[in-house]
Amino acid sequence: MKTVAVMFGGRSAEHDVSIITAHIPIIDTLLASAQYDVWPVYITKDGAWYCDKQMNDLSFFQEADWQQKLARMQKVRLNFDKGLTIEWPGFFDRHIKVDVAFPAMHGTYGEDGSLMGVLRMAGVPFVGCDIFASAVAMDKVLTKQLLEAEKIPTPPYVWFTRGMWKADPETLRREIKKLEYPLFVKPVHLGSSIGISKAKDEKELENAIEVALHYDDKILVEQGITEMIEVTLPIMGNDDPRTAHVERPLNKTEFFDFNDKYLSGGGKKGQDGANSGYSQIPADIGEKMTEHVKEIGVKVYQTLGCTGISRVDFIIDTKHDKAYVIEVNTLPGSLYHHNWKKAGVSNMDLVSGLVRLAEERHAALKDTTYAFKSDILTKVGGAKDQK
Amino acid sequence: MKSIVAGLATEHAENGIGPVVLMLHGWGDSLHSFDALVQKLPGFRIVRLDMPGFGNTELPKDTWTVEQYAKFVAEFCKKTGVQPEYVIGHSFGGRVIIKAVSQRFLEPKKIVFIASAGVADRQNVHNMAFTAGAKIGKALLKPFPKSLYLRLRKELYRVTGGDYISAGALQETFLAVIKEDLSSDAAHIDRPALLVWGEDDIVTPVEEGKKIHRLIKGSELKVLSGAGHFVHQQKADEVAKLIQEFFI
Repeated sequence: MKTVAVMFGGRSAEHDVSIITAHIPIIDTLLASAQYDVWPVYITKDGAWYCDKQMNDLSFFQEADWQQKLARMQKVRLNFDKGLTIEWPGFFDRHIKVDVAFPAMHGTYGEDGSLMGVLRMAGVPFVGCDIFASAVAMDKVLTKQLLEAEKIPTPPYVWFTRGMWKADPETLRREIKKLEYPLFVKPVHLGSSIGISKAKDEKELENAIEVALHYDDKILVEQGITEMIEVTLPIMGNDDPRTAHVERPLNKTEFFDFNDKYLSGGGKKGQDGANSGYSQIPADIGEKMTEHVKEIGVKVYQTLGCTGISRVDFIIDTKHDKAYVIEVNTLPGSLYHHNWKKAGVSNMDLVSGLVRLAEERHAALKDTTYAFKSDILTKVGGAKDQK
Repeated sequence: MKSIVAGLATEHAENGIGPVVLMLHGWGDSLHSFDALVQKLPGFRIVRLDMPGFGNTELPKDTWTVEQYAKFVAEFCKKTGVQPEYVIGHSFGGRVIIKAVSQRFLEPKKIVFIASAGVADRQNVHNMAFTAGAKIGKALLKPFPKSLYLRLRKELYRVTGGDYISAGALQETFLAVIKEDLSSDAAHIDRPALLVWGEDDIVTPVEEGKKIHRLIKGSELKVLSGAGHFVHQQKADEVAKLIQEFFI
């Protein structure tokens, strides 16, 4: 039986969403398969690591006193000797060797490549995108710059840091004036639409910039499209990616915000994590546009070097029949399993497929040569030569 | 929508066109407390916000007093360019209005207090007993192991005050807020005030409404039967009608 460590929580604004993703569908499905020994690794908002099978049950985190229960548990240590081992220090040394790590963390310190860096160092197979795709996708501006280089359409934008805005707001305001309203102002590194505002005039723009800079050091002012619809496309695979359905979120508010994404849904929340109550799957955008979106989606996936799973977000200019890529999400909330299910991929196929893809990528990495023989050390003559 | 006020990302909402009405919600509540009432007050520009620590507004960075909340509301008005002609406060929101108007942080023409807190006689009895009990309890429980300490502390607070437990990160702020008797501040309020109470209110009983009525000269007290502390939700039509008549 393979030991799988599902890692979730973390130092992120999306900490709670991560708990849902980890359980629905990942842990629930892994347990149901009876093929894996599942260990939940929970990282607190201040970065402490815990691992206890009680946390395999989502209800653990729904009890009023769960944090007190957690405080009574022992924190764990990681050991990187020949792979990843989770250790409970103490008189009775307890440890488990992890065969595959399954990151289920959204946002900072998890989805941004940080956790992938740790897992690479440990040399353990892990599910999802590697460090490079994760880090690029976490920065909406870097993503857009990469898309532009590959001539993939993305809406016009201006980006700047808090320091740049403080030093010379006038120049930036002039740059922004070249864009057409409505504008979307976004923190560059945050997910789940946190801190995003829509600005219809200069007054709203100033407020939106202040709000976005409250959440992030680098922000993006992006041109909106008046007659548009939003769609999203989950993609899965390594070298030969496959797409799920193009999905259209039918949100109640002006754009897809955190509450729409995770909390609304007229009572349908919970079971699907990401709210599926307000989505049209497949999106009614015509066969031609559907194929076009899928084609661009796969190109984006490959350009960023995504592996395992990702989701590409688009807006479609309905007046001009043109699709633009907005951003890439390397850990879609709850893996967008509701969409995969409609595309004929069961939770079991999805989750076990991702474990297999992780192992395949890890095996392929072993074929890449990272060590070179060198005699450079023997040629260096010690401290004197460095004068 | 959000704005940054005093360094805190603050959720607020606006509805309608007309003279500005500012609504402040109660402890543990949010701007949505007034959803039903807003629907029934046409002809006004109604501005609502989630107070720091509640709804979608960030937590205060340290322990706040009523005065800090009052200053925050004034700062919010300044930041968003809002000059309220009328203010409406429910429960804790009423507390904040008493402080803000008496200190002249806000200068509304008229005020509506709905089941307002801040002047309870039991302030001195129940609340003091609670804060003293909390302190003594903490000291008594200290020697126990942490897990047992947390459980016993929870049990202690369960019997002494539910809001304190549910206050979470705002527990110290909650203590600072309930400690303050605002009777003398209320006596300084020198503008028309309407007091609306639910007859069956057990959180801020009608007696407290009567006390504010005595303290604010020329105020009107309306007690609605068949309603409790959330009278503005339970009797939204009647409360809206009273407010409209009072504002005219």
